[in-house]
Amino acid sequence: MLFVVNAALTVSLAEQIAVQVRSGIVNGELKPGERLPPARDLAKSLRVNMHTVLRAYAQLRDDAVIEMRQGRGAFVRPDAGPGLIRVTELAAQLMREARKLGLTQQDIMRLIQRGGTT
Amino acid sequence: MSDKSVSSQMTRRLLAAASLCVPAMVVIASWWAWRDRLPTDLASHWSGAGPADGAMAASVLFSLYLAITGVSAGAGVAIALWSRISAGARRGGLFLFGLFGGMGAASWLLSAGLTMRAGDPYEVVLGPWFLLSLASAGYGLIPSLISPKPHIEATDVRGRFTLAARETGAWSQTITGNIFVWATIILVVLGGAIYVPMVIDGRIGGELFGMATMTAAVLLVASFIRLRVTADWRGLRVVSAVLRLPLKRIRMKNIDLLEAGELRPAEWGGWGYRIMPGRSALILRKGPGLIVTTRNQKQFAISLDDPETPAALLATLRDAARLPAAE
Repeated sequence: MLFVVNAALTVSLAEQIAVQVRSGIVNGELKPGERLPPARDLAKSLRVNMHTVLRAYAQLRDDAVIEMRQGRGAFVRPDAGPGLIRVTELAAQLMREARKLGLTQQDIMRLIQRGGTT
Repeated sequence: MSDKSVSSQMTRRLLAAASLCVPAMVVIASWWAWRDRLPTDLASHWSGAGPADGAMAASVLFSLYLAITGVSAGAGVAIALWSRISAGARRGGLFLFGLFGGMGAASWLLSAGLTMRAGDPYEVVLGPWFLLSLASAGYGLIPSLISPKPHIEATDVRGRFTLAARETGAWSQTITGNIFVWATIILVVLGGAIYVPMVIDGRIGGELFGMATMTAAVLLVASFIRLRVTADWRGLRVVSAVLRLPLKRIRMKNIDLLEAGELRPAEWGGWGYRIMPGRSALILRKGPGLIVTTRNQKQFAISLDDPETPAALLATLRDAARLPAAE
């Protein structure tokens, strides 16, 4: 799949890489179970620090989009599909908006729970 | 094509044809020089490292090798002078007939020369001369390389990406070569059928070299099963995802043209990793693929699902790399 990063943007390079992996899954370029490029290789290809790619992969792992297998690299989770990606993106967006409003994590959880009951 | 170029090509074709006649001439000249000293029978067959186990009348052996080298020369000359054949096919044909001619002449020289030295054809030991016999196959390279280079017809991909000043792109894909999966399975089954009974019977001692060769062959073929193809500012890279071995690398500065086209195995010498004079390819199936033409007029092709993206990206990065630094 194609990765494009722009060092001039305010969005971090790690975030840009993570967004593109999500997009790749949504548009079918990356399929469940597919291996992502090794962090070292992708870093060299994009001329970024390897830790930047590792941060992107860690973020995707925390969002349950990919899984890291010891010594084998990063793989798209078998259950990662466009639906999960969309929810992950919306959750990230919700967190950003809520933080701008000064809401705590508890407030956000309460809002989500209330939303779930309606 | 200019008159000078046509003339130069014809000269090369004539030289290639002449070089194919050399093995036959060597056979005739050596027979003429040795005709009074040649034993009645000449060693003609070896089964191992020991002395010859077969002999033939000198006149029969001479006729045989004269026929091999003569037919190779005749066919090679016809191919060299045939205008309708493509330059690539001509080079391939010349290599083949050069190979036969070279091996024919070397075999004659070894049989006759070594028998004259030993006296008795059944006491002739090939020894290290066996290497000469093998090396003589390389004679095919001479007419093949003398013959004019194939003219590569390639067009550059039209698509380009718009990259900002501080923006960079990279494309990466892991592909699976089913053909190599099957080839690996066949080799493993074959190796198992040959060597497992030997291991069970305890006869493996003398076959360690063969077993090691088979293991190396399995590993080599298996390394092509999963391939990671990367296109970035460095150029195109194909790496074995299994063994992490680099299999192909074309540096950006060497890339001339990029094409996203339809790959037909028949045009690239079949399926698998194909190496031909001036061309190489990883053909996994009939279908879309990326074709890279380098500045020294060599081509590499690889089967890919979406060759347009890496072709356009490499073309964009290549164009950017060629821009003068001041711009």
